[in-house]
Amino acid sequence: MSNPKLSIVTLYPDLLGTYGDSGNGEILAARARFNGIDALVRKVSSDDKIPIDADIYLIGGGEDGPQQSAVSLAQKDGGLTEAYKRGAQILAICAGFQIIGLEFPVGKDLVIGGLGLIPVRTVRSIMPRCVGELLVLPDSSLGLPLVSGYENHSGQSEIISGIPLGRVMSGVGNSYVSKVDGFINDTVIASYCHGPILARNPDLADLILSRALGRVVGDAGDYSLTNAIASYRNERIAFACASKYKREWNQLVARFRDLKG
Amino acid sequence: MNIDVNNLMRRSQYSFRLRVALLLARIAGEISRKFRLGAGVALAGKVLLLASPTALVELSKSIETLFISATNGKTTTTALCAASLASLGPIATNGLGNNMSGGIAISLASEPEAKLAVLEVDEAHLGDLIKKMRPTYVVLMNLSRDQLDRVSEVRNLAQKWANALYGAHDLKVIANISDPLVHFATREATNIVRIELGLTWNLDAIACPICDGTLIFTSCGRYGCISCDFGSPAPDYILKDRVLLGPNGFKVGVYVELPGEFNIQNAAMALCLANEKGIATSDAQTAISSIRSVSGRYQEVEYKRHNVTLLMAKNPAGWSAILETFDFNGKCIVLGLNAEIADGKDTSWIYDVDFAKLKDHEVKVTSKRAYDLAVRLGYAGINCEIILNQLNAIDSSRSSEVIYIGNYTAFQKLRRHLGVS
Repeated sequence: MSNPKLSIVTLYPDLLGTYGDSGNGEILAARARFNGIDALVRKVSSDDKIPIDADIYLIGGGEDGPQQSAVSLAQKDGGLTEAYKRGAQILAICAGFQIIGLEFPVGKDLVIGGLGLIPVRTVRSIMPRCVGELLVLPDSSLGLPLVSGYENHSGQSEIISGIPLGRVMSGVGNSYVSKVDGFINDTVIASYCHGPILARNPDLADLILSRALGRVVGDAGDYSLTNAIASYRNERIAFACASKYKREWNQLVARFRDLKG
Repeated sequence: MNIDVNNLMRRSQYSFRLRVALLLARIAGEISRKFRLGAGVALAGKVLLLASPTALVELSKSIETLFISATNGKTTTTALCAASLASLGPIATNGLGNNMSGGIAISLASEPEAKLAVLEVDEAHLGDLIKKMRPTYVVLMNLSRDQLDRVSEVRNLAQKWANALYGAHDLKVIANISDPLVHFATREATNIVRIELGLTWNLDAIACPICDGTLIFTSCGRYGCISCDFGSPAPDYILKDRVLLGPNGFKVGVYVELPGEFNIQNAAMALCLANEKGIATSDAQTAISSIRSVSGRYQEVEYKRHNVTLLMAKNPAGWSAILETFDFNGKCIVLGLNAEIADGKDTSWIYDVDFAKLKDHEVKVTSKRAYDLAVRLGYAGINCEIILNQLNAIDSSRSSEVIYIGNYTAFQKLRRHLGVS
């Protein structure tokens, strides 16, 4: 069998690349390569046309201004929406998650319409910004171990219909009230976990590859890398568990301060 | 920290409250050092500002202050600036990187004889400190991502700088306009000296700070926006091929003992400041080239049978600059990563550093977040060994030549363990 080709698009790295998000593309390509699959990562910057024929689209995190430009560019371009309709895989993190939803807030008084690919609405919050380790128990349908990441966002996302990536074990996730993080359907995986997310969660990377290729992709990396990832995961998950109550206490204090002020 | 207690109560220029506050700060600093909590400056500074909230205003009244701020290179540039101005008399400076209100107040109090203070200022606190201390010069170098979880994102910071400088007529800005964000922050400043240092890290500022359009860069580091009129302004000084050219035929070769193109740029900023302050160029140049290490950075130390070069870098810009600058052939590279509050707790930026140059070299990853680095390097196809203890990591190197690169707290900890002052 000849090597199948896999095409990965990193969307607007010049606008949505604040949190090391380009790492996700690099990791997907590397894990595909371990499985004997040739992968090509295309960085589509804000003045390029979005190709509609890629297998996987990665949308990362960014600041308010660039996020706003990214959504208006993507709307005008239309390529991402077309690719979604075609059934391409999408991994959307943080601002990317908000962009593919219905709407999100920018600054103090603006609400911007998203691409509307998934029924998720993000609203402004008076609560303190959600910053810190995020640990998620993924939905059982995915068959994944714990998902670990680092969140840093202020918007609060509400799923109107559909299921989240999973239940929040430590951290905030979509919103202070929902106790869940992200959104999933057959082709989209969205989350507030960056870090980048695939560095800490190799099984999630393999799941995306499996979905894109239509066959099972397993861990075929070399021993020392697999080992390093396992240690990395253990260390971060233990940390998230240990800091859970401290963070909840801090949030409670901050909330009390807000009420008083 | 060196507050002279005997002299303290007699310093009549200070109010009684400030004198008491300084005494309390001194005691707090001593306690902190006694229990090995740190150098004591951070705690002393906190106590000082708690006991006398107006301490900074009062301390800066009798002294001319110069600020240096940037994401990268501010400690080194501050040391170079202080050296180049040394002929003006005793200078107060915060050489150990204590660059927020507390540390600055302690630095001023430690040098009561000084008439001039050359101060490194944390980029997020610049506006606040300009208001309180009314500096005569503000030297601005660059703005890039640092501590994502804590300081507001880099464009907001540029806007804050712009707000702080707007209407501050009594200060002179020396700005590196090769950094689009610095130019953005200073474009409305009334009293400004523009210096063009040439290409710097621009990954964070590729989008135009005004309209989010694409910025096009030329090979010499000039830039322009494709959709609005934002672009490189005309410089007053220009650094080209290690020669700094300025107004009225000013021309000086820039030479430093410190490694790297970025230190040539840092030195050019210092020479520009010295010229603006009326220092003879040859004096400034001699002073600058006498500096071989800055608070342990660039220092070479012996550890067991190894010759270790110590380097500090805090963010993708810093790491990239170091990786570009040094020759790693035949050497062991030890990378130390921490994610304490001072480093920023988010390590995802390591994916924005291109480590490819380290391929096929002996690489060790160490310190608290060594696993983050191990995974990062693993995916880049670079073999490395994980050794959590930094001294053991250095000691385990097969090569006798070791280059250590650490981020802030990892570096400081290693420096302490090696006994480097």
